[in-house]
Amino acid sequence: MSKPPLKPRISKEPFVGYASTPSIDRRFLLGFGAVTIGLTSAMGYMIAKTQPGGGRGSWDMGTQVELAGSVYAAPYAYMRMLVNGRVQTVLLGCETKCGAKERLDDIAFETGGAIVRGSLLERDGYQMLATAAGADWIEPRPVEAPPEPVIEDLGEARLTGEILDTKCWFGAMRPNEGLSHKACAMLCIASGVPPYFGIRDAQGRERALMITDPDGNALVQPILEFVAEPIEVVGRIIRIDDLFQFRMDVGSVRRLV
Amino acid sequence: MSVGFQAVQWNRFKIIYDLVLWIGAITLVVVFILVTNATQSEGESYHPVQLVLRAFGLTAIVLLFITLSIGPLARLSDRFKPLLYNRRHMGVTVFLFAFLHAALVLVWYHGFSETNIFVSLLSTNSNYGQVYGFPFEALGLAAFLILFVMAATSHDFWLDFLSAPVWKLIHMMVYPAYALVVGHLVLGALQDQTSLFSAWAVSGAAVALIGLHLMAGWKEARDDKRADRKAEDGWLDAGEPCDIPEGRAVIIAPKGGERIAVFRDGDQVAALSSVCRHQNGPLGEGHVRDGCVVCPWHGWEYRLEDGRAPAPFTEKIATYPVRLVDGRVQVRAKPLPPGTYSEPVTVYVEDIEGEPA
Repeated sequence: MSKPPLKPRISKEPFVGYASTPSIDRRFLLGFGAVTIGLTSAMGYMIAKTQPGGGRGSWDMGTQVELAGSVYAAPYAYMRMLVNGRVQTVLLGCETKCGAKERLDDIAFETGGAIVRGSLLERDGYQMLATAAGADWIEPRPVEAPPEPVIEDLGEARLTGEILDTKCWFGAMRPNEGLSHKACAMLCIASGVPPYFGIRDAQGRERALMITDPDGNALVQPILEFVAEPIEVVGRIIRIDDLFQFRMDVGSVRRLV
Repeated sequence: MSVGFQAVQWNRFKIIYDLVLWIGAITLVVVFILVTNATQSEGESYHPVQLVLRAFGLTAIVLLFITLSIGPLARLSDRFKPLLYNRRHMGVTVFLFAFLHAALVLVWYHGFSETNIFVSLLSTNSNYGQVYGFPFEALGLAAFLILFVMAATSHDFWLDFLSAPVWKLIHMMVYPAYALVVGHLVLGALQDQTSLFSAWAVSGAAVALIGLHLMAGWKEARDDKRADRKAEDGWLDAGEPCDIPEGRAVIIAPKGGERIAVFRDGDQVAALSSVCRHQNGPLGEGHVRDGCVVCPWHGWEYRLEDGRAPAPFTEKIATYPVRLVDGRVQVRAKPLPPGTYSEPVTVYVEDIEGEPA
């Protein structure tokens, strides 16, 4: 019946939480706490240091501006202005996740001169006006109109890039690309924010093209599932002054991951 | 061990424990925010909301890893046992950071539209059929709900109300929660990283955690094997009285049965279940104090002779008859009902001479 002696599984002065902590435990625990804080801080330092940058762009929500120009409701709400003799395109959004097209539809506005009020989002020359809340966000009236748009067909292209929602990408959010931002970008585009196709040009610079269907109309539902993923897609590039449209053939989309 | 409801039974140890915990958590948040801002390229920046929500998410994951490491560390070395005493405060802190992260994500990424934020969270991205682009938010939400249930039931009131097995089952869900968090990271934030450091950190932590649990399990199985005693005529051999240190126990682990703790208090030897009623803590690794066995995890106490918690507490555990045969302690294999008095056996001075304690 006899076996080797059983060894107790304890080896030190007993610890009872509500009693005085033995000095051996106190020293060990404080040392363990200090080492753990040091290690977790080092981990936080490394993760912060090695993560991708937040992204460019800004949104000066506190400054309301007035822009005068020709306003268009299609394919997405935007306006064309003359700035120093050159035509500049500014997308029209709103203060939340929506586009201004619905707001233009509400007042049966299609095309024409107007003063538009709101706050400006900017990224590397791309601009969006987050139209102010309230009824006086737009004032239709004759303004100095830019010349008729110069439309140039640049031909068919196979592009590699990512579908972006313009409001976040122009600066409402940072970071504003990739899978972490996918659901937000999908929600924005589904809610009316114009979608752009983000690419890098031959010099490695970020460029973004307005996405439309092959006829130049708004394209939303068919592209939603591909938003924020690296894809390759065929389409025709149309230049309208400083705006590049990418008339996308959704059937040609190929996921790259 | 509480006879009346009290939100937290504070003591000096818990206050210092929480202080160190929060200093660590806040330090991590601050380091992450400062370093992120300091290392941005020219023209780039993080939006403050997105920076803070990332810092909170990181802190929740790091604290969850530490919380899960404490259990196996305490099984591998007695020195880590005191960390178990207030571990639930760390668990609740994990939930608080996860809550802050989830709340900011919900409002920031899914708010500000006409779509309900919860509808948006669950349905905006419904690409459940693909790995890349999978709605990783759903995994985070599932983990969050588990952490919520655990935090909400963390008080001993719920342990008593739900019964120990149900409570334990709910709180073992922390392991699926950790797996969900790893999936949330792997399919989400890690996909956007250009450096492999975060991926190595997440996988290294997961491997370390699995390794710690395997080591602890292996040690426990080895100890159980050593402590295995076959019953003869229904009695188990617990060795000589001098093998039992003063105020401590040796543990017998009969195959298929519950572990039995054989304690010696002076010249009295008695046997109790080694499983604490509180959280299945290892009573046999505790010690005797004023005639009561004290659990090393949270300090629950049971009288040596009848396994009952001293009044006004009402918890009770099984006791085992003990006898002395040919100078060796024997324990009956069949337990008595919880709280049943069992006469401790008296050993003689010569039986405990040369005691190892």
